[in-house]
Amino acid sequence: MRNKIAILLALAAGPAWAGYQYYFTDSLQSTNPLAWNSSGQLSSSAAGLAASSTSGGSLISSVPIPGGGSEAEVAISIALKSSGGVYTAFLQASSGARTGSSASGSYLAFEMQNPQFDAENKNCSANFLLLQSVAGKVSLLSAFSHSCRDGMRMRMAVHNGTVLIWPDQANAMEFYAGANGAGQPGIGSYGAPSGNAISLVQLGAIDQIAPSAVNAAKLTASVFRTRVELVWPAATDDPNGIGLAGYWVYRDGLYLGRTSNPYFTDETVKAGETHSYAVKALDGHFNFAPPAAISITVPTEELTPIATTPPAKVPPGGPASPAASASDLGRPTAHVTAGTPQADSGGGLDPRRIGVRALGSYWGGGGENIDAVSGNLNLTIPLLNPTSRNGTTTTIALSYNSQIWQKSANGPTLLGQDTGFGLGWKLQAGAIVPVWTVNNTIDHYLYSDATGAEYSLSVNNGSNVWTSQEGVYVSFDANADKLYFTDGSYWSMGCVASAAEDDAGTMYPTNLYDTNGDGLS
Amino acid sequence: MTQRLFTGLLLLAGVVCAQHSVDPKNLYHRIVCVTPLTGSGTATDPVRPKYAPWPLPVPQMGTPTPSPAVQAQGEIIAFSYVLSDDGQHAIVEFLARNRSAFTPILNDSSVQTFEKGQVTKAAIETAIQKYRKNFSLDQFGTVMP
Repeated sequence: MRNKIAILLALAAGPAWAGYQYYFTDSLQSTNPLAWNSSGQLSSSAAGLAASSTSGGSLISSVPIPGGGSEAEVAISIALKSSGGVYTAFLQASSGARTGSSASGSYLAFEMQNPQFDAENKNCSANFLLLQSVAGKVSLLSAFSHSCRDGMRMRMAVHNGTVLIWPDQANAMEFYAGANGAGQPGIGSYGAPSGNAISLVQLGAIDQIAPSAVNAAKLTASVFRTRVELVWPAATDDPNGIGLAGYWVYRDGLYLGRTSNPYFTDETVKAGETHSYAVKALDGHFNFAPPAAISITVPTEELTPIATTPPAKVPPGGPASPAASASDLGRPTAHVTAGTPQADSGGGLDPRRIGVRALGSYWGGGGENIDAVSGNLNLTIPLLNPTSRNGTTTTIALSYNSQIWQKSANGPTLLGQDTGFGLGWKLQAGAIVPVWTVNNTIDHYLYSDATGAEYSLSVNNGSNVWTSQEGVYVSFDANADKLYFTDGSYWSMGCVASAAEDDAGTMYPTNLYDTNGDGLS
Repeated sequence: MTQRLFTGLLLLAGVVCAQHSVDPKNLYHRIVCVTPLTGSGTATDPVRPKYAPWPLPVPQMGTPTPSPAVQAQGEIIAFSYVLSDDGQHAIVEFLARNRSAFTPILNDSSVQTFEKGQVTKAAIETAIQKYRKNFSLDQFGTVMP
């Protein structure tokens, strides 16, 4: 009985939640001298930790990292009410470590410098730096610009010598620059205007447990002549882990790409090739699960094109009844069976049947159409047709296609995302996507027109200008990011979707020029 | 009015979903190169690769799409590097929205350059391994946010 009570009490005393727990959290409304080694000029208030002077200061933790060592995570939240200031997260820092004009000590520092709001105080952009100081020598390991906002969160972790940073985003940026090997987490700031402050700091130990491996028995591949679609059941992180970060996909032992969804498409295979794919789940601290692997061979079989129907034989005794089948009438039977769609003229055994092809318009003929083979519905609603003085026109259209599901042994998988227009909807004048090979070269560029129809620009003229053999003869100059049309007009593809967007890397036109060089921006 | 509507639609079109996406290690124009190091190692003059932007330009104030002038000018938007084994060189990857940002680097005969997308992984790794043993592109490069 006593044992049962003890167990019940233990269960009741345990946390009602699960998941990763930071070992130290501080809202910085006052500075706890037992937890922090303070240096420089800092002030605490209800808003958090502020440092208005140009030299600023830092707080380096004196709380030991659970489990020992110097690998840890530091996460800071920043109250950003106006432009300006510098805000720093430290790892492996010596006591008194500082950046800026009073730089001292050794550290790894992830720093946001000079955030700038626009006139409406809505959009914000800042410089982010990864700095390392060893024996008093400061190195700038990386720098980039990125968005910022009031309430933003910056995180940095070091695990197995890999530096991970999260500039207010879910996915980590990894750096293999080498870590210092000793020191504590901390925070710092200088030059912050009134109202800006570090409002929260959290220190965490490194998660050491990898997520579950992808179930190899349920890793399935749908293999077509130009693409391989991999689908697998989602992996899970351990109950107290930092959380699943996604999956890395390898082809023949080489890194191919990463995804946060349990599916991946390789669009660079060729007929007859054999490849092995491996999928590794990883968590937010870069613990990798063992790989799940599958081998495939890309089919080489040439499919018979849909037969052209010859004139019907008229059987003796009169015309055929409407119920008579094609074979009854001596016609060749079309080689179309459910689940085995015909090849398109692009040579791809691709059930999506996209684009306007010699054999018919499956996706993107304009208006509405239903592909009788795949059952896919496509419709296009042109919204705007700007026309230049010499008659060059461009269409911006809203299009829909139902090809957003994939059915496999694991059940249906949703491949499309809803980004505000509804599942399957697109709004565009056109787009270009580079498709990379496992060897780090460009395999082809994919051109989408306003209807959503896709065409492979797979012919490189040797000067990095790519064109198509698929019935649309646009040319993409990859050096200048310009898309040329046969009438001499061209688009400047000046907008690139960022990594955080579902269409990462997709280029959209920002300037459209006619043959006279007149343009719209 | 038509032009405003057109511009608005173009910008809107830039955020729609597509089923294709580029790996974050391959976004934008990229070159891998071996450059000398510069900088005295102070906070105001940190050690960094030659051609790394410094001091950093004032960020554009939340403009999602650079203006045509900025696009035409071209600038390095990100970089990261590792040291060569002898500590004398930076093996660096520069990123730019516009390839023209690389022109000074590509024209510098003292800097060995490889344009990602045009040179194979194996060729880059073989060349760089003369400077850093065991160099692998799998453990190098900037994963863009």
